[in-house]
Amino acid sequence: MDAEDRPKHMMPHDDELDSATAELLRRVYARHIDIDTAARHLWVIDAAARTARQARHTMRGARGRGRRAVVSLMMSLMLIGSSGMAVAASDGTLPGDSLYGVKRSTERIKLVLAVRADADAQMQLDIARQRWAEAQRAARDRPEVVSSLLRDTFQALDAAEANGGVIARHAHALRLVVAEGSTELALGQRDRRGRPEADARRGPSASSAGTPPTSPPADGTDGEGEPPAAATDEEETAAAAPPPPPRESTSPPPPATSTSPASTETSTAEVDADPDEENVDETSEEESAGPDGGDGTEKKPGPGTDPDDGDEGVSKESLDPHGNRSPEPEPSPSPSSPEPQ
Amino acid sequence: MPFSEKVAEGVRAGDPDAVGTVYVVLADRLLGYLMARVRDRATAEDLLEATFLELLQRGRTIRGGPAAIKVWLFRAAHFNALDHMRKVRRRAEDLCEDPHSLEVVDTGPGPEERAVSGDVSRRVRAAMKQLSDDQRQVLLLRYVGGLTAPETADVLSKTDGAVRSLQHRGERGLAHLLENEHGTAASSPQAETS
Repeated sequence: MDAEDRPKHMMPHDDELDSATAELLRRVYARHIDIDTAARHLWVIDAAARTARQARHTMRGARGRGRRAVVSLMMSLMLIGSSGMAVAASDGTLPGDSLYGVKRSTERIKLVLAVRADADAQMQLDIARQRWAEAQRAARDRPEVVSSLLRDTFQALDAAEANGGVIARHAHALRLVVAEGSTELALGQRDRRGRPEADARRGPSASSAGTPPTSPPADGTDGEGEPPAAATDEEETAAAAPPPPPRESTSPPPPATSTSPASTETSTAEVDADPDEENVDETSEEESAGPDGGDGTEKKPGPGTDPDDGDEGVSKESLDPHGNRSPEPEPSPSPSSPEPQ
Repeated sequence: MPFSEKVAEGVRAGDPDAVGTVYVVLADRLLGYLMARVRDRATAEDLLEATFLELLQRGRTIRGGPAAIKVWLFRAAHFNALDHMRKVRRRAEDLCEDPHSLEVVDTGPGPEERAVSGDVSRRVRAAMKQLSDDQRQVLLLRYVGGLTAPETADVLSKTDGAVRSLQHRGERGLAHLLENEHGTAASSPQAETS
C-alpha cells in the first residue's frame, strides 16, 4: 500500500456523505493512537499469538519446551516495561526469539507513524480546502469573517506541508491559489469567473503573457486571476506545471503606492471593496506573508514576507504567515491565474 | 480495500503480523468510534485492544476478504462498547449513582482537539446526544468509522435503506440542533468569537 493510496483508503465513501457534517464530526471525534498505546497493543497481539503457539506445543507433551516458553514470556514481560530497552534488545533477533515480536511491533509502529503523518497531512489539506471554499462564499455573504477564514486556511496549509511529500505539493499549490485568490477577495471582486473582465479591469500588464498564474501578478497588479475553481484541479495543475521563468514581480504592490494603471485600478477597487478595511489589510498582510512571492523580486508589502515560493523554479523556502519556514520542492503556478495568453 | 487479500488470509489464519497490519490501518478510526461511544480514552483504548485480540483469536471464523474483516472489527467494537456501557449502568444502579459520574471523560486535548475549539466540540457532542441511538450510531460509523452504508448496515444488522434513512435524518437533525444552538449562542452576550 503506497502512501498515496493510504489516505484514500482511510476515507469513507464520500459520495453519500454531507461534507459539512463530515468535517465537523471528524474534527470532533477523530482520534489518533499514541505511539505508546500502539506499541503496547501490538506487543499484546504478538504475545497472545506466541502464548497460543506455545500452549499448543505444551499440550503436545513437550513439557520442557513449555517451561522454557513460559520463562521467555516472563522475560519479555519484564523487558517490555522499559520499552526502550526492549526495542534495543530486539534489534538482532530472529523469528523464534522471545523478543522478535518486539522487533516486528516496532516496525509496525513506524508504519503507524508514516501512515498517520500522511493521514494528518491529508486531513489538514482537506480542512484548508474547506476553509478556502468558505472564505470565497463568505466574501459574498459575510465579508467580516473572510480574514479569519483565510488565517485558518493558511494554518491548515502549514500543517499539511509540514511532512513534505505529495500532499505537501498539493498544499503548496493550493497555497498559491489561495494567496492569489485572497487578494481578489480583499479587493471585493465578486466576479471570479470573468477572467477577461478581470484583466480588462486590471490593465494591460495583467494579461501580459507568461506571468504564471499564482506567481506574482504582473507589475502593479494584485493577484487577479481566475477565481480558484475546484481546488483539487487547480492544485494538480499547479503541481504539474513547470515553473515559469522569472519575469515580473509577483507580489501585490501596496495599493497606495503603486503608480501603474493596475494599481490605480486597485486603489479604486479598494475603495469599492469590502467596507471592513481592517480585514482587507489583514488579508493583504497575510497574503504577502504567504508564499505568493514569485520570482523573488521583493515587492512584498507586508512584514514577514517570504522570499518566494519558487514559482520560477528556483528552489526557495517560503515563509508562512507566521514566519516559519516551509521548504517547497517545487513552485507550481496554478492555472487559476487567468493569464490569457 | 483497506488492506490486501493476502493480509485478510493471514488474519483468517491467526497470523499476528497480519492482525498487526490491520491494526495499523484501522486503529485510528476504531479508536475514534470507541471514544465517541464510551467517552473515556483509557476505556476506549482497552476496548480497542480487546477487539484486536478477539480478531486474532476468532479471525478464522470470518468468511470473506478485507471488507468482511473491517465489518467484523467494527461490529466487535460496537458490541464491546455496548457491553461496557451496560456494565457502567449496572454498576451505577447497584450504587444508586448517576452512570455518567462513573466515567472519566477524556478532557485532555490531543493534537486533534487542540485544533478544534472546545466549545465547538461540546456543542456537537451535546447535539449528537439528542439524536436517537440509531441515528447517532449510523453517523458515527459512517463519518468517524469510515464505513460505507452497506457496511454500516452489516454492523448494525439493518437494511441499507434503513441506514440511509437514519443517516439523512441524523444529518438533518444535527444541523438543525446546531443551528438552534448557534442562534441561541449568538444572541447571548457571551457569544463565542472564533
